[in-house]
Amino acid sequence: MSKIKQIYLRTSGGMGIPIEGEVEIDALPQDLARRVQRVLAPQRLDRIAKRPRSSIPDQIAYELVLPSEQRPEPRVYAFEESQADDDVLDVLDELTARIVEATFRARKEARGMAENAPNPSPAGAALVQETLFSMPDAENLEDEGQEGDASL
Amino acid sequence: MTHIHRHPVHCILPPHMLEAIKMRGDAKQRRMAERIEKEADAARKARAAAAPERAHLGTPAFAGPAPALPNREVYNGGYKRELPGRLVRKEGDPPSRSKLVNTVYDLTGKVFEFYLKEFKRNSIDGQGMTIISTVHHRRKYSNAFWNGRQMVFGDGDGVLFKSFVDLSIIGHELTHGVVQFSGGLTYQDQSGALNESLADVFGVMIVQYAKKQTAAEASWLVGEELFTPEVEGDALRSLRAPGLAYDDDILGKDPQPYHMSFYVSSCTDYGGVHINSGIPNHAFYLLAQYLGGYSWEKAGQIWYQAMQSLRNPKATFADWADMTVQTAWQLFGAGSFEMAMTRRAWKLVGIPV
Repeated sequence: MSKIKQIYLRTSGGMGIPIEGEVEIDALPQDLARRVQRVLAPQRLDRIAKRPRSSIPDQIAYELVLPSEQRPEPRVYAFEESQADDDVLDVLDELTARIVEATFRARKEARGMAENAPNPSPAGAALVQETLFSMPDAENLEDEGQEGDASL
Repeated sequence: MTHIHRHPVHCILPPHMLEAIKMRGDAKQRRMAERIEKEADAARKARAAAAPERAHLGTPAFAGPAPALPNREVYNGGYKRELPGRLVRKEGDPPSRSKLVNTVYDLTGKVFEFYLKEFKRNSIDGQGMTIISTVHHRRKYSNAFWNGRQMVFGDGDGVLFKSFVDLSIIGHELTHGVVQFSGGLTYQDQSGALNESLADVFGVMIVQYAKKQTAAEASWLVGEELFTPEVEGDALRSLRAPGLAYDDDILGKDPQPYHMSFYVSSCTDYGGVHINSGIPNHAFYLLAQYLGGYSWEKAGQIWYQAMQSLRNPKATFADWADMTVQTAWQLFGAGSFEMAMTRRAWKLVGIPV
């Protein structure tokens, strides 16, 4: 059985707000990496995904994509919280937390870079302003439509 | 003092069932249905005379000899998955040492009061069902759900989400139970999105009721207190502006549409139940704005009575829109302002009735 090298994870956490991202297994602490190999073994995920589904409102649904060197297509598993075992949920929770942490780190770094960037020249600022005001803003148009709807 | 004698049957048989008996029953059954209708009509008139401003509410959904009182149980899940966990506080117990347990106890009491006072509904099933809640479910669990028997609340991961113990969330989850005991809506595609929408609509109405806010004053947000300051967003969902509740580089942009033209066909989330709920959510918001005042007094009554009459677990948005217009007609009369505005609200989200 080949080792899992990478996982793409998507959860419908937080009452339907999805969180998704990629995790490189070799970059994880050794203990967690070993648990991933053991707990998220394809045969086991197959069994979990085949268990009967329930229709519990707002429960978390998981989608896992596991690329494989031996197959052209990745393995894809979809299951709900109520189908999974405790140790599977624990590992998925840890991976989700790592995805969130990594994205936070990247955001902080990007903000740090933006704060340290030199101020644009007056000409540059004018150009940015002109571009902003000449571009149609889909979001504002949408908002306008809704506000319009609300008034008789 | 006026005494209204209730017929034991007219409190149980809904109007549509009486209509069916009149159409398909034998002579004796038809006479019974007509008699019950007359008595119900007399009782309605007496109530209307006693409280004209509440006259449109019609026959209460329950009537029993015992006063309707809440029966709450709050459990500590101990950060494990097993439910319900360890019982910490039950009805009538003094406050617990846990602030969270006391908050859930108080807020579930507020939701019970809302359904009882405004919709004459005695708890989740209309029969005084015990309201069971579990807090501290799993570790850093960022979610809340209704599992068919009870509500479950996570503490949040502390990074994106705070605790899910929030009045709009409790109202949302408890309403999933109300939907279940009102005929149910299959949790898939449009019927699933209606299930989610009803949970959102009653969740925000409960917050407005607790804050005594009119439709114009309210924020119309679900889960307003849920995000940590790190998240760029106001709440989980917005009924006023579906699609604009949050825009964050981790959570992404709120994907909710407000119009059928933007309906999302999705393979995930049971066919996008948390996404397309934005459409009926926005229709309710528009109606509440048109009718003014407190949302639960007219718009909420239309939605609640329609939920009781629907009896179609696979209902589409169009089925639901039809039912709300029909209910507005029954509650407020043909050609009434309320009925016209219900149709207009649906038209503006792309569902002509």
